[in-house]
Amino acid sequence: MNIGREYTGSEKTGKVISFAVGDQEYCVDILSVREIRGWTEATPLPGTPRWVRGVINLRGIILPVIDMRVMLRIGSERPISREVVMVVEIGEKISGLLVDKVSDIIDVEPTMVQEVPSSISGDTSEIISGLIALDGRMIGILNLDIVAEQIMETAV
Amino acid sequence: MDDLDSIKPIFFEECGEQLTELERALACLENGEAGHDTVNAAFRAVHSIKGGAGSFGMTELVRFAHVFETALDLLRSGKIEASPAVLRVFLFATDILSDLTGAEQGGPSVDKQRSLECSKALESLSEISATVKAESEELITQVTTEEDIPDGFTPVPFVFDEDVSDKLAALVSDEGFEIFSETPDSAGSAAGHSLQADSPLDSVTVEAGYEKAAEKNSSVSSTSVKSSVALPASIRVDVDRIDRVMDLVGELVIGQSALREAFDNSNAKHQDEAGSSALTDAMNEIEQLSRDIQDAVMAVRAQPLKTVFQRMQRVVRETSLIAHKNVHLIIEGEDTEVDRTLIERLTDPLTHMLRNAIDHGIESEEKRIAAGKSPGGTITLSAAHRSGRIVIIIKDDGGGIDRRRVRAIAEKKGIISSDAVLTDSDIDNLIFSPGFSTSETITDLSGRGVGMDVVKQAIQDLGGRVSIQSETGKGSGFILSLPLTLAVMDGMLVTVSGQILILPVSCILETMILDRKSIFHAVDNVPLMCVRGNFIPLIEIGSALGFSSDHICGSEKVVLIVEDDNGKMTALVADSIDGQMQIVIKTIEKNYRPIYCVSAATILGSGQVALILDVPAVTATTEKSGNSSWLKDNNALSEKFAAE
Repeated sequence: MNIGREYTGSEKTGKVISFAVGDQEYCVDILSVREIRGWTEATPLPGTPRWVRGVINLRGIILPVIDMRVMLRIGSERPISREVVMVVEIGEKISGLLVDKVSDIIDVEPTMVQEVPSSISGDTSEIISGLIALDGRMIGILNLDIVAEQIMETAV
Repeated sequence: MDDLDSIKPIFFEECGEQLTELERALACLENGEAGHDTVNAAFRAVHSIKGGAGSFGMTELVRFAHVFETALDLLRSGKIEASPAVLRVFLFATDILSDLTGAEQGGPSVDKQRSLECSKALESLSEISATVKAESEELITQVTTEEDIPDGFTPVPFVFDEDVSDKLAALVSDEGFEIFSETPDSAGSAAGHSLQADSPLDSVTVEAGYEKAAEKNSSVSSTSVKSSVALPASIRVDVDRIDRVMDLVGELVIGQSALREAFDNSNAKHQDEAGSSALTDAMNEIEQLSRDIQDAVMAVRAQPLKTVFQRMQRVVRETSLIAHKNVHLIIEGEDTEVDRTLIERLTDPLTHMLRNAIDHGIESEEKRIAAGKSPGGTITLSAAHRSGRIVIIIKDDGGGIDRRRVRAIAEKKGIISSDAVLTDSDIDNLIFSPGFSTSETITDLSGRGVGMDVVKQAIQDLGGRVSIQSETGKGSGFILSLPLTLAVMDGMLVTVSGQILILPVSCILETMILDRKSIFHAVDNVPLMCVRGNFIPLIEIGSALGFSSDHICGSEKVVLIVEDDNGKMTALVADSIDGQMQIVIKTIEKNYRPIYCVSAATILGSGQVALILDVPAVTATTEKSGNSSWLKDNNALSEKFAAE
């Protein structure tokens, strides 16, 4: 189970950025986030999975935007106005994650991270590498490597 | 060792330059237009390679370069003449030297027999062989002092980055090297090396003096290099940095068009307001400047075709040897500059076309004499700029295309039907058809399964076109017309299912309003369009990309007739044509992956991304081999070239 990848390390305290997708909360390592920007219309690409909304222009760099609602299978009705794109680095590539809103920055201690229960299974189970319980909220740690793998799939 | 490894690429890069220089000097000698300088240049080139190879411990290379250098020294001192026989040996040696450097870079290893044979030939140029052998054994640790530089020999300065010079300093301190760092002033010099503030160049001169040789006092080798000549001021810059500037200029052009759009809009609203003329002037000024900057950056990226053209000397030499033909290559316009990305991708097609010209174009010696021509054939490889494009012509003085034979073969291979009515030019173009090879027996040269169709494809991938001019008995010429750069291109903007797509203007033959009366359906309801009596496949771009499932029923659609790699025409249907503009090509693969039927993207003035249609991929969707056929084809093509 790859927990450490998403924040600075399981032995140390790390910072993560949490965001909301529908009524669920997820987070990614703050160091992998390049910037957060408002939603601009993406140019759709032929032959790509449903969760790839298309490509956008970030100051001359073209990057894919991944609709996290579709990828995480959380219904598709959305309040358009509140959408934001989190620009994240995954390996050498840059992608945009389309989420509903960015919530806050959280300091994560290794002890706060719980394993993902086995009731979450199937091909989406690895997309979260751990769970954080905080103030009565549940925050899933998003595994960006799996996200990167899933956008390489051919059209669904 | 790590430090040494990190400067190795610089050495190899310089080797490449030196080899080009050597090749050119020998070509000059061959044409009899050489003076003392030319011989010196050749000597220096070999010498520099030897010097560098020595410090990297490339024994094989050093040994060979030494023998070569010794032979060149005989020429330099006038002990031997630059006769054709001598030059042949030198050219042979150049090839071996190039192969040896290639092998050091991880290329195929060199045939020992051949290199030995060549060494022997070089050594036989004088009786020096005995002494040379003994000396070369010790070369790696051999040296000279400054006093040993013979008169008339010009030392070569090396220019390195400061951090490289630091590494060099660390490296050579044990080896008995000395480094002289020359900077405009003493500030900022590399870690405490002795300074000579006499040159405006921020350069580091490596005194490759090996200690032992000072004692041995070798007369043959003089490895000392010191800057004393005024060189054109130049710097070595990482290509990535230039590409970055190029990218930014692309941004500027896009920002520019956005500004222009906004400006025109607001101008339309407030026409009478004062000050708008000053704004217009400033706007135009900025526009002009951004165009100038674009040109300036392109000039930085531009390289002369020399590098690839000089390599062709060897191709011709080796090919004509195998074909038993005496062929002379004349190079013209080698200083013509093109974008560096193009240069890299021209080598394979040019190599292939030259091989083809020697194998099929130039007749055998007997035939040439019978036709009243000189026994040796001549191929001219020339380049020139012509109206914003670069035109490369490969012209031979052979027999021209044998149209009767070409036609017969095309019929036999089922490329054309026996009753087809073809013009001379149609027949000439048949040689670009896939699967066409006029060689009845598969020769060593052409006809190894890679035909002229691959050449055509490669040129088209670069946004270029190939045409043929052939005259029976007088020879044929292949004319390549290429864009100056791969960073920008002329694009046709079309709307498909509400989205703007871009088609390269170079592949569009004509555009017209869709006339439903000209559409027919064949078996399986496959739509065809009748264009001047010819039925061609009809593809709706939107449905090919999966954007919409609309059938061809909408009114007022437009048709773009495009030509694919094999000259096959296809009609593409779009909703509307929105104009034509120069676009900056952006990759999608860098942050994502190759996209089906899309070659790249660009950014419109609005900041929106627009996809550039991969026209050959779209036209290939009509072939019933599944959607991924275009990918396979592309791979097969690159494999073919890799195999070459």
